[in-house]
Amino acid sequence: MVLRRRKAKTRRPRPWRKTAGRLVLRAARTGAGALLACLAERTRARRPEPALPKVEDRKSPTAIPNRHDVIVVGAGPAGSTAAYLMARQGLDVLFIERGPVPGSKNVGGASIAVQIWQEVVPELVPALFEEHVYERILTRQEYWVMADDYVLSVGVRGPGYARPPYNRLSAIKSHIDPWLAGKAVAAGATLLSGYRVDEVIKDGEQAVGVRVDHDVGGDGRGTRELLAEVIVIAEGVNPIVSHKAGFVSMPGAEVQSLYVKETLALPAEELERRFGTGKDEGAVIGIYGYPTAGLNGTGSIYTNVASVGINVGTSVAGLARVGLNPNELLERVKAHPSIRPLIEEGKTIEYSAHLIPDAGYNGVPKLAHPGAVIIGDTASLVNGTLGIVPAMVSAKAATQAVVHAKMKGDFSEQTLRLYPRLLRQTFVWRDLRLNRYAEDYLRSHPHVFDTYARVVTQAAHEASMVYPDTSRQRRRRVLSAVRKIVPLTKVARDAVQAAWVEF
Amino acid sequence: MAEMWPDPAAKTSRDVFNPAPASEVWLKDPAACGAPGCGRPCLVVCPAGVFEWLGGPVDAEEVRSPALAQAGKLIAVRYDRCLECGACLYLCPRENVHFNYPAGGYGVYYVHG
Repeated sequence: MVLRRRKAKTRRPRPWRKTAGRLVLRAARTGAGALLACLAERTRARRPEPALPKVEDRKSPTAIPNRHDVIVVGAGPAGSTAAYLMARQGLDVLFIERGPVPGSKNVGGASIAVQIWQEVVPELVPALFEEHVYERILTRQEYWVMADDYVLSVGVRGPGYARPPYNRLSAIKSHIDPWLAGKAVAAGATLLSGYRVDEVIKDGEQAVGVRVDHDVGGDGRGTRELLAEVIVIAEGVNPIVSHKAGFVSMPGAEVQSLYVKETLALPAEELERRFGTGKDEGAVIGIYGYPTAGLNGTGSIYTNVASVGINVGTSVAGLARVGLNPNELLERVKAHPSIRPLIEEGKTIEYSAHLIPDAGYNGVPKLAHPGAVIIGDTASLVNGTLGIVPAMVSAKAATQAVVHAKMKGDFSEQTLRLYPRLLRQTFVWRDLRLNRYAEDYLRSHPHVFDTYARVVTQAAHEASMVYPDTSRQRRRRVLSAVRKIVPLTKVARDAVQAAWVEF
Repeated sequence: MAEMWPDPAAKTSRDVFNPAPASEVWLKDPAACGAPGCGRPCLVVCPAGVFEWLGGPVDAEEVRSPALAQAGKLIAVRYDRCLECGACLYLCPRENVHFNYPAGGYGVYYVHG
């Protein structure tokens, strides 16, 4: 296979601490010294304080050469994974982040899927544990179908989750993202943090570089042009740069889901007691129905070391239609009789908002362009179920294509189309494709989450009640409780249509 | 009881911000926001309450302050508490909201994201 012919450059996986010095040296060279030193500091310190770097201190990135093999726009999960993998292949990579440090603009439902990391960046998995960048090992996973009063919960837990092979870890984006970016820097990539990419520079159709917003000192801001043979766009959910470049069309309000999250501080032992987990172990609860108040959407609650994250979200269009602020949904969830005891006495330490692309398979734009590829959530390759997994997988596929293009010395669209071809062979793509009608189904059946959450909780509640009646009477009782919510013919119709979508 | 925040704008007081010197969120045609028939979802949905109505009671168009309308200021944009989600890009039925991220290094700084 063509891809095997890459430069044989083996790098010993090195402990992060040893590379910190190198990182600082490189940082000084790139002129973003204060920021990167802060990054290294933040990553090493287990639970860093919000040390806000002074923007005034930043020097212009004059030390950064104008030309690179690759420029990655964005140092989120997709961008940093791509920068890491490409740097390991010996490419000269510059990755640019608009936040003062990577991760400072990111919000997550916070789980690291260890088996996926094993697939995409296997060398980093031991470091993930040794350097303990995660919060808790999730040993308890629950799904709650909620109505106003009652909750039907299904869960799975066991000691196996706390042993290798691990499943999921809770993590804080502002710890894990700079850590991953640091790994890319240690592998040889150059990070330019605190600079916003404003547009892609094109020579005819061919993308040849990017223009960054550039602090020229004083009050003035200017722009600087940085050139590369290929631009990897990992700018995130809002395709501002790629839309301007004509790579992606603007998604609609129906397919952008708005999630809000609140982080509440609670003592570690208290969290373990409330969520019934062992020491250093955590829980994640997916919540459905009640949290989105009649709209299709989801929410979740999970535990960090000393805080609990609670999030809820639904489509931007849905919120606009019913005139709801997402924070109202969040506050309503916090007050639910089953949720309230979990977060009792919690102090709000952060409130965040972020969009998640919900367009699925049909929302994936053209991925390869002359001199540019699009990865991560800009390409709709992030979703509520798989989280950032598709983003990381797309970074891997894009890396293989870019390495191939570099060897060929040809960065045309045709060569870079290897990226979507490789992506199509991944489980991520097959999964997206299998679920390609699901999003449409949910949009054409906007009631399903709400109706059936109420149906199953009401039915379960009715079945749980012990009355002086026979089992036949109880079955009738359950059925009539369901019929009070929705006619059985409608249940049958929705079920048939859902089955049609699924199979 | 955990802390409750009925007002999302107040809730952003728990976040770390480094406000940019200039806003990157503005209304392309500020006067157009007074047009009857617009549900003005930006006022309701923005998770940080960045858009604030200045033009009087929303339900009664005629009560709108003529002075403000003349000045073209019906909605104030409090960009210093923007959480940078970008929902306003997709919200506005007239595509009247210009949204970009703040200049590099500025804006919200998530510490527990």
